[in-house]
Amino acid sequence: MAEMDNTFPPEPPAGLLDRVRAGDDPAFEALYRLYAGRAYTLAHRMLGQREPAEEVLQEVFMDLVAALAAYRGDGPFWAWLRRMVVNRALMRMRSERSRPRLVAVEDGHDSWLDEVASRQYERVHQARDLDAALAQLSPVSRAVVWLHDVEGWTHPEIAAAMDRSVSFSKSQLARAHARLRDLLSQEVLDESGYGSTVGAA
Amino acid sequence: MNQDTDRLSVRLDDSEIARALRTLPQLEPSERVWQRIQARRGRRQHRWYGPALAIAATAVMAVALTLMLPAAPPDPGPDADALADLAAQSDELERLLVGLDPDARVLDMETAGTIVALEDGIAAVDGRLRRAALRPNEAELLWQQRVELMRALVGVHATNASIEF
Repeated sequence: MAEMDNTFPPEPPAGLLDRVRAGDDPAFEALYRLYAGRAYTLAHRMLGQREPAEEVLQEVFMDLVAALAAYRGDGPFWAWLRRMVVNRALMRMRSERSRPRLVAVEDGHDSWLDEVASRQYERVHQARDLDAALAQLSPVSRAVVWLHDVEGWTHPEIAAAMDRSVSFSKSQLARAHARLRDLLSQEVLDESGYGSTVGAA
Repeated sequence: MNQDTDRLSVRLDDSEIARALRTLPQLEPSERVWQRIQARRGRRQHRWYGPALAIAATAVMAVALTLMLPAAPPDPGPDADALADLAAQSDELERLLVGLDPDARVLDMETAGTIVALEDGIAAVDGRLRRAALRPNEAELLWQQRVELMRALVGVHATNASIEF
């Protein structure tokens, strides 16, 4: 598996989007192959599970051709596509099933989070990699830390996408960092090849 | 929690956590996602093509029947305005077809077959229209059929071009 590249992926080849707009199936598949991994990774990191992330990916690409009518090419294609993925993932997070979790976090009571955290505290030593640590965050915290730290979104951008305040985004990020800081172990850093950098910091 | 983290040889600051997160590998969706997308797109295409195929089939049938009909009885005379109007409609449809750039797309076999049938029908009509001696009512009928066939052909290409819109 390729390591996440924080820079934007290459733009689609010239003419590809026009062919997709015109209903060209091979062009559509080429576009899917170019961006599916990146889009799926984003959805998975936000939602924490394979199945809903795959559903988000499917929904985004099913809507893509129609949505392309609104894409004017005045910004990187991935930035535009990424927003579709984020919006879809957030919609899913707001669904009935996940709403109680969101309310608990939003109100600051964190009853759900605390309950999960207390159980997860027992499993801290099982967190052998960053992936597992990330998965132990609340859905909102995970989405915020990923959008901010990996996708490079600003707090105002995150707040707008989540229909929350900037301070909400900042507090969620701080919460996520604190949780990850507690969960991460030196072994994880060594495995990722990152330990020496951290040790020098 | 602090007791637990004290065992760590390092404490990460926020930027280090961010950098560590970016070392996570890119994930790949299973191939079944693409298969589901393909299947759903296919169903949409068939939904869109259904009416177009019916029109095409009807138009081709109409041409075939016309070509097999015995000569019509004498007609009072050509309606020049009606013929001109039909010819103008046909020309407009030709321009629309060119605008759709029909050769720019890859077609599935079913659609390609429909297009070939329509183009054959148009060629047959054009062959009859080029005949020196045409009865007035026959010319109008043929022009009507040419317009119908052109509409169906444009419809198929337009559907193919904007299948997802």
